[in-house]
Amino acid sequence: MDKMLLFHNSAELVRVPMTAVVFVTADGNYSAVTTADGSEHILTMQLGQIERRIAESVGSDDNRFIRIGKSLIVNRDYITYINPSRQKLSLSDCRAFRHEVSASREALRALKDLIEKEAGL
Amino acid sequence: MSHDIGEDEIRIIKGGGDSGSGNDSNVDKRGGSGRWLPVVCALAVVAAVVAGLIYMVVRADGDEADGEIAEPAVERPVGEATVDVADLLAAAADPRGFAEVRDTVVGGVGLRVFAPRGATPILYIGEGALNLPGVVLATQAADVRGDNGDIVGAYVSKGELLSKGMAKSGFCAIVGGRITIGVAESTPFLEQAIEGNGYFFRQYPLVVGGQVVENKPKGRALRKALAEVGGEVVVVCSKERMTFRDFSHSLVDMGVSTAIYLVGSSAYGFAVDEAGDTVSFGLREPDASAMTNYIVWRQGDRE
Repeated sequence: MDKMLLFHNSAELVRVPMTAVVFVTADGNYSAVTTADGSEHILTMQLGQIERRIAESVGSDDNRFIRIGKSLIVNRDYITYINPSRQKLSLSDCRAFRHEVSASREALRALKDLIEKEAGL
Repeated sequence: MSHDIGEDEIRIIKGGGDSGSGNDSNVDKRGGSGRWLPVVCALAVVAAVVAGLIYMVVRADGDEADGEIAEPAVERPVGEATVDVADLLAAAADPRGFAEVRDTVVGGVGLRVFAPRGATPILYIGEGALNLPGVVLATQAADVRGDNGDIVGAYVSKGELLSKGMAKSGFCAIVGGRITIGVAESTPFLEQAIEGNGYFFRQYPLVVGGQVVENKPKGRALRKALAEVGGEVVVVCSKERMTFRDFSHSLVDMGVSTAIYLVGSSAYGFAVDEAGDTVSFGLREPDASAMTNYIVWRQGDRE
C-alpha cells in the first residue's frame, strides 16, 4: 500500500495516499492540497509546513515532490507539459484529470532542465 | 527544518525530515549562479544570527517560541467569540423572529444597534438575499473587488469554498448552529465551515479581547460592524462618518469584546423590527456586483 500523507489540526485530520497528491498551492497561511480524484483539501498550514510534513513522510530515495517557488509543490509523476516562456505547467494522469498551474519562467526553466537532465537528454 | 525559497527556485523535497537538505536537492534557476550559493548561505547565516539576537532582545520577557511556524513572530492580536444560535432561538420569547433596533450614544458618538431575535444567520450571494422569506436583518458582509468583482478573502457558502485568500485577518464563521466572530490569520473555522456545510467570510478586524485592532485605512466613512456583546451577536452602524480607529474605540466603549468590519459607507441593508416595520440603511444599487453578498438572519431556524 502506498504511503499516506497526514495533515491534522485540533479540529480535523486529512489523510491521503502520496500517489494521489497532484499538487499543493499556498494561499496566505492556508494551503490547498489537490488530489487525483479532484478533491481540494484546505489546510490551515503554510506551504513550508506542508513541505516539512512531506519530507518527514517520504523515503530518502523518494524524490517525487518538488517545491516550485513560494507557492507550489507538485508531484512530478503527474507533470505532462512544461512551457517556461508561457509559464505553463500541466499536471495530468493522462486519463481522468488535467490541471494547469503557473510558476515563474525561471522556476519552470529549472524544472524543465532538471527533468531533462535526469532523463539523460 | 524548512529553508526559504525564492519565486524563481525549485527544490526536490527529500525524505528524512529535512526538506531541501543535501547537495542535489536545491536546484537553482539561474544556471551558473550556483557558485554564489556559499556566499548566499554565509550571508543568510549572518542575517539569521543577527535576526535571532534582535528577536531574543525584543522577546526578552521569555515568551515561548512557536516551534512549528518558521515565520518571524509578529505580535498580532487574535481571539474569537462564539454565540450558540440554537440557544438564543430556544430562549427567544417571540418565535416569529425580528431585529431589535436600538440607538445609543457612546462617547458622544451615535450608534444604531441591530440585535436579531429568534433568527438564524446565513451568508447569501446576490441581491436575492433581500427577497428571501423571513429575513429580519440583512447587511453586506465581505468586500467585493472593484476591478474584477471577486469577493475579497476566503468565502464559504453552504460548505463551498467560493473565494480564497487572507486579505484581512477578521473572520466570521457560521457552522453547526453557532456563529463565531474572530481575528486570526489562520483559523480551523475555515475548514470547519467547508466540512460542516457552513459559512465563512473575512473582513477587517476591529476589536478582539475588548481591545482595538489597528487598521491601515484611515479615511472616514459610515461604519458597520458585526460584534459580540453580552453574549449576543449584533450589527452596529455608526450614524456619522468615522475612522476605523474611532469606530473601534466606540465599540469597545459600548462593551464589545470582539468585532469585525462589515461593508460600510452606503452599502444597503435592512432590518424588520418587533412591530414588523422595515428599517433600512444605505442605498440600494441597481448595478450591484453579482458577488455582492449579505449576512442574513431569517426567522426561526431557517437556513
